[in-house]
Amino acid sequence: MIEIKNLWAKIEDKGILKGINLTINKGEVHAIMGPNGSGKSTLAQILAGRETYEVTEGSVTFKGKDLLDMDPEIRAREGIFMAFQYPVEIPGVSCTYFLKSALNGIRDHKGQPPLDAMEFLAMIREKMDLLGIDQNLINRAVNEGFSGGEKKRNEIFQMQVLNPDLAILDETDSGLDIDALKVVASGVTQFKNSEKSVIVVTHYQRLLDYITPDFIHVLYNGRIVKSGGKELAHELEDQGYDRIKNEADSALPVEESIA
Amino acid sequence: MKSDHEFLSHIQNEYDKLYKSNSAPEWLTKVRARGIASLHQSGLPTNLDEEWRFFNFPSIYGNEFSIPDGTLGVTVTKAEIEKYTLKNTDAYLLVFLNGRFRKDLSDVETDEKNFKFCTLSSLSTAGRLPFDNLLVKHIGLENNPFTELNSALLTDGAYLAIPDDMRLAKPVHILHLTTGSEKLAVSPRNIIAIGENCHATILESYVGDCADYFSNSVTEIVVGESSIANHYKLQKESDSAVHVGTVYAYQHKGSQFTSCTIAVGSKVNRNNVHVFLSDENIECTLNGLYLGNGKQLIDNRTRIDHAKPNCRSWEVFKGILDDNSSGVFNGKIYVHQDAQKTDAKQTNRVLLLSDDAKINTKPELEIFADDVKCTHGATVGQLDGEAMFYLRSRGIDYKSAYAILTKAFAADVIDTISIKSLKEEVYALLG
Repeated sequence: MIEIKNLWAKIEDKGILKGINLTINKGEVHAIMGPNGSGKSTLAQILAGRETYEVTEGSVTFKGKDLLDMDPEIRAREGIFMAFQYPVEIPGVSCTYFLKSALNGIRDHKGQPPLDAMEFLAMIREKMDLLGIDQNLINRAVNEGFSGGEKKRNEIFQMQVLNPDLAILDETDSGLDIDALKVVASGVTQFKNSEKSVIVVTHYQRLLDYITPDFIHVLYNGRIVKSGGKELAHELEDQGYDRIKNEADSALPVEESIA
Repeated sequence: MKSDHEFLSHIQNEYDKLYKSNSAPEWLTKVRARGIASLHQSGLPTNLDEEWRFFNFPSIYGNEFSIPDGTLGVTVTKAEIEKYTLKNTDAYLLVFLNGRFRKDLSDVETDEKNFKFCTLSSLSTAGRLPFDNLLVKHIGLENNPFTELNSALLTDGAYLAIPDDMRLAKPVHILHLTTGSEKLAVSPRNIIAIGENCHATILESYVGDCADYFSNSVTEIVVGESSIANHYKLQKESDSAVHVGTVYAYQHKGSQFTSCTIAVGSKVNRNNVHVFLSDENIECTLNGLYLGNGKQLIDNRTRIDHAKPNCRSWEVFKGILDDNSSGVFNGKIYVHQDAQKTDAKQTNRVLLLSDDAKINTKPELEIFADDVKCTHGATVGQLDGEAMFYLRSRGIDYKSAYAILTKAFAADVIDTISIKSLKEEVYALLG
């Protein structure tokens, strides 16, 4: 599905990613964990096409195509979706209109005819029921005045409607109470199948109780310092990130390993 | 480049040539004479006048515009008018070509009793001038020399008298088209007198397809007691035109007036809007939307007078400026000593889409009553990069995302337009 090779990125003069290597196959769920400031969110944002970051080295191949070469909308149309950590409020634009524009943009890219208003409504109604999304919510402006939980739920709802091949959840669990967390997790569980891949970026192990990952990677100081199966989450839960930090810090200093 | 004085003597020459020996109705001769006399007295404005600081005067004074004598033999067919009329909307249509009424292009058959249109040129000399007590006189608080210029060169315009208790089933569309190969100065004048307990919707639109011309319009609206009036002005002059447009509205007791001035066309545009709330319990919504690109200048000056207690006014002007365009917003709210419990809110928000676009915004509150609520606010910003990324990350292309966000910015102004097809037309201007 996606192959990230030796990815280096910076913002202004600050290096953030320092040689990420990661391969995700179809049907796999990968969790990316790590302490604050390790570069987890940066990685998610770069995959979605955020231009604030400058990729200085490396490559990302998505379904055989050069991802880094694509504009954000092309990435979305090719099948990448990122659930935002902080979904943006867009006053004056209704959720329905927004989602219909997005969906028809993707359909057009795939050579499919646009859905008319009736077809679109029928289609989203089904997804709304699954996530328990209120009709009023989608008539409101995108994320405007939404509670934290509503915003996150709206992200998962968008994911279900747009039906990407690779979903990236950027700290979708942050700020959620346990009930909202369960709704989000069940949305992801409904979504994933043998053709879809998911990247779950999270600080906490909590979400992984509901979305079982096939692999867990620990990101620290811009590199993946440890990878393992789902049991790694419990290890981190018990011991925190300190042990991994110490191990990594005592290994070759990252900057010098390159020079 | 000519000075304001030289321009005025040019106007005097044109005036002498056309109107001195002309057998116009007595009232018209009087209005013109009064206009030119006032002009000589007050002079034309320059950038030294505070209210005209940012205006581009060479675009007017630097040209020898000629005053159209008749419609200049220009032929325009009804089919050609269609691109300027409201789509799928039944309306009373009055078409003025180069400042003169054209019945053949209009659609003024009225099925409503007692409601008649009239054009200024067709008013007879007999009797009292039906609008003598309307014409600016009441609200001549703001000395605007371009109104005098309009009077001096007046040829024709719409005169609409809506009798008491009439609800118009259709909007009235007054269309002023300037066309032909000459450098013209046209002076459209519209007078709209709405009686008591009426309901009326009026659209005036200004369009053109000839090269340089100068359109200097004046519209006067009187809204009678307890009447509801919607007024829209759509300025879509040709790209090289200069448009100075002035709207005066005089509201009587308990009336509601909603106005939206939409400015899109012309290279240089000045919009003056002056509403006078003359009595109690009046509501006034005064909106504007100005869209600039290229090197356009759109200069807005508004004034709302609260003369009596317990009135409310809401004013929202929004500008979207791209390229090297510039905008001006100068909005005054004048609360007279008597106008206690006034509730007035003014907002000017501007979206600058390029580094070279600029806006000068200046709110002015003059308050002489001590128990009022008046607020004003101005914001200038750029398109929200976060929102752009959010839309694009969902598969919406850059151009569409841009259009979605600019439409959303202008939505609260556009959504006050009650004519559906006009609303759609204005949204379509944003991509």
